[in-house]
Amino acid sequence: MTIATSTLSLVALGYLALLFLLAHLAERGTIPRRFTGNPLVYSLSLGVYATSWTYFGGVGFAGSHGLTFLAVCLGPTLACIAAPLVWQPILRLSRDQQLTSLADLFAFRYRGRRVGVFVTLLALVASVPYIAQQIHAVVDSARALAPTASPTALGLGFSALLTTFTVLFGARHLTARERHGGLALAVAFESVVKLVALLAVGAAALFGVHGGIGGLEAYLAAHPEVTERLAAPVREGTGYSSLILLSFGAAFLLPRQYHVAFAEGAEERSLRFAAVAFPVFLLLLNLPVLPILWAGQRLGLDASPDVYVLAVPAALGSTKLPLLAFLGGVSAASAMVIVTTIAVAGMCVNYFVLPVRLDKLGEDPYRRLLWLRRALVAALIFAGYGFYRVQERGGLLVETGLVSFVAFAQFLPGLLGVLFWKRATRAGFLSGLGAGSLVWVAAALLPLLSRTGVLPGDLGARALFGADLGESWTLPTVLSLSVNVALFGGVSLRGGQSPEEAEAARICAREAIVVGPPATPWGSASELEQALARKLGAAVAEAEITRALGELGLSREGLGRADLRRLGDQVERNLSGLFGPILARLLVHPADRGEGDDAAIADQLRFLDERLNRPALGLTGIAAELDLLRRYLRTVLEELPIGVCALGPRRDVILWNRALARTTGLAPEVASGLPLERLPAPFGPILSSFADDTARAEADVALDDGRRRLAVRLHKASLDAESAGETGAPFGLVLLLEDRTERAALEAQLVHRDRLASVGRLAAGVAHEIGNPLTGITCLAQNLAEEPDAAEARARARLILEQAGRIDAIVRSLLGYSHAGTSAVEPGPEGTFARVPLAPVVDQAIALVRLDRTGKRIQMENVCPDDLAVHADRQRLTQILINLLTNACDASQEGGSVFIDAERQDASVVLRVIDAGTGIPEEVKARMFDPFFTTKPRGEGTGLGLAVVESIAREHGGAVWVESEPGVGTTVHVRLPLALAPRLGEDALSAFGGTT
Amino acid sequence: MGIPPRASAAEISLVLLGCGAFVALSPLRLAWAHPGRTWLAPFLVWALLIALAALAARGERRGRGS
Repeated sequence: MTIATSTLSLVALGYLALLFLLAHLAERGTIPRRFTGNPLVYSLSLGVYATSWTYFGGVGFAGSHGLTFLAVCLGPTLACIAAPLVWQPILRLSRDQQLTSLADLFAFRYRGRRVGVFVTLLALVASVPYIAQQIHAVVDSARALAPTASPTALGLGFSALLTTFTVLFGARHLTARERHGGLALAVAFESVVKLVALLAVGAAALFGVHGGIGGLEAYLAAHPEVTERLAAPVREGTGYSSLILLSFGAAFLLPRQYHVAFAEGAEERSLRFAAVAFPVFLLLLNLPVLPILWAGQRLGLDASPDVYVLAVPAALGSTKLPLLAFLGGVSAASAMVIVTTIAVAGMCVNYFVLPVRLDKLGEDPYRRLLWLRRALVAALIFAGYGFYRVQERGGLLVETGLVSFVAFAQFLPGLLGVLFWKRATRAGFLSGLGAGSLVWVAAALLPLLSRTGVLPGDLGARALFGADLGESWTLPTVLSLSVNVALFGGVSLRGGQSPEEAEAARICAREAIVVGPPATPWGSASELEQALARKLGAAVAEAEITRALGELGLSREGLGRADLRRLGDQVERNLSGLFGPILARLLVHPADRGEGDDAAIADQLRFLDERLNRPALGLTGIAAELDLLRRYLRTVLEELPIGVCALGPRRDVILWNRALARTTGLAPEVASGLPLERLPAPFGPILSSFADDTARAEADVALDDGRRRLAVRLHKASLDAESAGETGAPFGLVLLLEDRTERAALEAQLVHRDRLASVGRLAAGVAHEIGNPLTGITCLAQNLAEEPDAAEARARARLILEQAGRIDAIVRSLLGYSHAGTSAVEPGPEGTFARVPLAPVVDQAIALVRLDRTGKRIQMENVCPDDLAVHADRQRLTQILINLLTNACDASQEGGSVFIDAERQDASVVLRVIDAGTGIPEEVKARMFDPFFTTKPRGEGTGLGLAVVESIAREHGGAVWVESEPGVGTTVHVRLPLALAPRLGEDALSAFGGTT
Repeated sequence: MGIPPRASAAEISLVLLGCGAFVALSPLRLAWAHPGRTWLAPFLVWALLIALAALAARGERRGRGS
C-alpha cells in the first residue's frame, strides 16, 4: 500500500497546526489554567520520554533482544518508586533555587561555571545523535508509506516544521519563571496521540492478524520458539540489567525529562500523581508491542521490524490506520525534539554564550536573549538533521538512543552526590564526569559513528576491547560508570571543599538553608538597580527591581538592611531563571567585598531565622534536632512577659519579642532589621541612647508614646561571640524592657500615703503653731476695738497681719507638702523635674519637721552650700528630707543635734543627714529599706519612711546608703543628680545617667 | 520499650525500591521471564512495580500530611 507524499505532508502539517492551535489556546488562557496545570497533563507530558525509539523501535528491539525491550520503561518505573527519594528533593531544589536545567543543578551544587559548561557540553553532544534518530524515524516511517518520497525533502521539511513550532511556543518566553502552559499541553496531547495510535495498531494486530487473544495464545503454543526467543535475553541477563540502570537514570537525567519534570514549575501533588500515572502510561504504550511484532512475523512482512507499526496495518489493507500510526510516530519524535532543543538551547545560552557575551546584550537583553535562544533551537534541530544525513547506514533505531542514554548516565554519580553525599567535591565530579565521558566517546560514540558509516573502519567493541557482548550498551555502560564512580569518589575523598561548596552541599542535603552572601553591598534599591544597569541596561534593571519589590510587597523607599538583603535575594532568584544561578549571582553580587563583618552576622542570623520559620522545610538529622531546640528557645523568648530586643553589632534589630511588641505597639516584622535609631519615637531614640551608653546597664525611664504614659526599666547585656564558641566580631546586645507603669503607680500611691501619714504626725505641732499667733491675733483684735489712738491702732493692725502671715506660711507649707503630688507616670517626665537649690529645700523641711512636737527639742542645722542645686522633683526631695530628719530626731536624745550637709561629687550631689543618736544595729540595717518594717512602737511609725526615700532616690537615678554605729550615731547618704547652671545642666544629667 | 519513630517517605521509598529491584533484577526474574508463562506475565510484574510506586507516593502524601 502506498500513500502519496503530499497526503503525508498534509497530515503532518495539519497535525502540527492542531498542536499550534492547542498551544495557542492554552497560552491565551482560552483553555483554563486548572486544565493545563492538571496532574494528568503533567503526567502525560512526562510521556515525552517515549520517543520514536519506543514507538517504532520498540518492536524492532523486541524482535532482536526479546523482553529486554521492557527494560527501557521498567527503569523509569523503578525511578517512580524512588520519587520521594530522588524526584521530590530535586523538585524542591529546582523550585527553591530556580534551577531550570541539569547544568544549573550541578553548577549550583558543585559551585562553578566550569561545571555548567561541562554538563552542557556533554548534554549537547549526546543530544544531537538522539535528535537525528527522531528525524531518521520520521523519514523512514514516511518512506515506508510513500517509498518515492525524497529523504532530503522529508527530513528538511520535518526539521523546518519542528523549528517553527519550537520557536513559536517553546522559546516564546525567556525565563523558566513563566510556565509554558501551551507547550506542556501540546506535549501531553502528543503523548495521548502516540498512545492511542499504538493501541489502535496493537488492536488491529491482535484482532486482524491473530484473531483475538485466543488466536494469539494458540499461535504462541504452536510456536514455542517464539516465547523462548523472547525470554532468553532476560534470563541470560545480557544487557537487561544494564539497560534498567540506564533507563532508571534517563527518567530524570535526560534534558527533556528534567525540563518537563522540574523546570516547568510542577507542584508536588502533580509529581505524586505522576509517580503512578507515568508508569501506567508506559505500560499501556508497551502492551501492543509484542502483538505487533508477532503479527508482522506471522504475516511474513519483508520490512524491518522497526516499521511494523506502519507495515502491519498497511498489510491489513487499512488506509486510515497507517496514517494514524504515522501521526503517532510524528508525535513521538516531535515532542522529543521540541523539548530537548528548548532545554539544551537554554543550557547553551546560559553557559556558552552569556558568560562571554553578556556585555553585548545592549539595552534590550530580553529580546536579544530570546532570539539567541531561538537561533540555538534551530541550530540544534538542523545539527540533528545534518547528523542524520551523514550516516550512510542505519542500524536498529534504538542504537542511537542507547548511545545517548549511556552518555546521560554519566550524570548519575554526580546526581547521587547532589542528593546524598555531602563530601562530594567539584574536582571529584569533574574528574568522574570527564573520564566517564572519554570512555563513553571511545566505547559508545565512536563505535556508533563507525557502524553508521560516519567514520571509516571498525571501531566496535570487539575491535577496541577485544570483547563483544552481543549488544552495544553494556560494555560502555559498565566501563564508563566504573571509571566515573571510582574517580568521583576517590578525588572527592582526597580533596577538600570550598566554603561555598560545603554550604551548597548542606542545602542539597536539606541540612541548611541559603543564607546568601555575607553582606549586602548596596545601601538602597537604587544602588542595586545601578549595579544591574551596568550589565543589563537601565530598563531591564528597573524592570527587575520593580518585579522583585512587587513580589516581596516592598516599596522602593525606606528599605532596611534586611529588606535590601531580601530584595537582592529575590532579584538573584529571578535572574537565575534567565541567566542560570552562577551568572545571576555574579550579576547581583559582582564581588564579595569581604565584609565578614558585623552586618553579615546580623543579616545571617535574621535570614536564617526567617528561612527556618518557613513551614515544611524538611530538615533532617541533627539539623532537625537543632531546629527543634531553636524553636523551643525561640518560643521561650517570644512568650517572656518582659520585652526582649536582640541587636546586631550595628544596632539593627534581630529579635523583637511579643511582650515588646505589646508595650511599644511595633510589630516584630516592622521592627526587625531596622537600625535601632530608626525605630519610631519615643522608643527608637530612648533605646538607641541607652544602647550606646556604655556607663549604664540599667535605667528607669518615663515616657509618653502618644497613647499613654509609661514607666519602663531598661536593662542590657552584651552578647559576646566568644561565649557562643565563636571568635571574631561580637554578636551585639540584648535589651530588656520592663514595663513598670502599674508598679510605678502603686509606688506613687505608697509615697503619697507616707506623706499623708507624716502630715498626720505633724498635725499636733501645726495646731500648736497656729494656736499661738491665733491667740495673739485675738488679743490684739480685742485691744484694737477699744484703741482710740489711730497710730496705735495701725501698729496693732500690722501686728495682726504679721501673725496672720505666720499662719498662712504654715498652712501653705503644709498644703504644698501634702497635696497629691507626683508619681512616675503623672504628670509627666519633664513636668516636675527641675533645678532645685538644695539649701532652701532643707530649710523648708526643717521648718516642717519642727512642727512635730518631738522635733522642736532637737537642734537641726542646715550647713548645705548655698550654690549647690540638684535636678529633682522639689516635693519629693522635701519628702526625702522630712522622712530622714524625722528619723534622725526620733533617734536623737532630748536636746541633741542633727546636721544636714551636702557636697558635690563629680556629676552628683551627696546629701548627708547626720545624727548622734542611738545608731542602728546590724540586724536592723539589713531590713531597714523594706516597706512596713519599723522599730518604733505600734501606732508611731508606718515603716514606709526609708522605703519611700529609697524609691524616690532611685526614681531620680540616685541611691541611698547608711553608715551607722550603735551608740555613736547614724549618717544617711543620698546621692542625687547635680544640676549645674541651666546651660550645662543637661550634660551633667546625662553624665550622671539620671532619669529623664 | 519506646514507640518506633514513624518512617519517612524517603525511607519507605528506599525499602520499596529495594523490593522493586529484587523483583525486576534478581534471579526472581527467571520466574516471569520463562517461556512457559503467558506473554502477559512481565506486564503483571510491571503492574506490581506500579503498585509499589503508588505505595511510595502514598507514604509521601501521608508524610506531608503529618
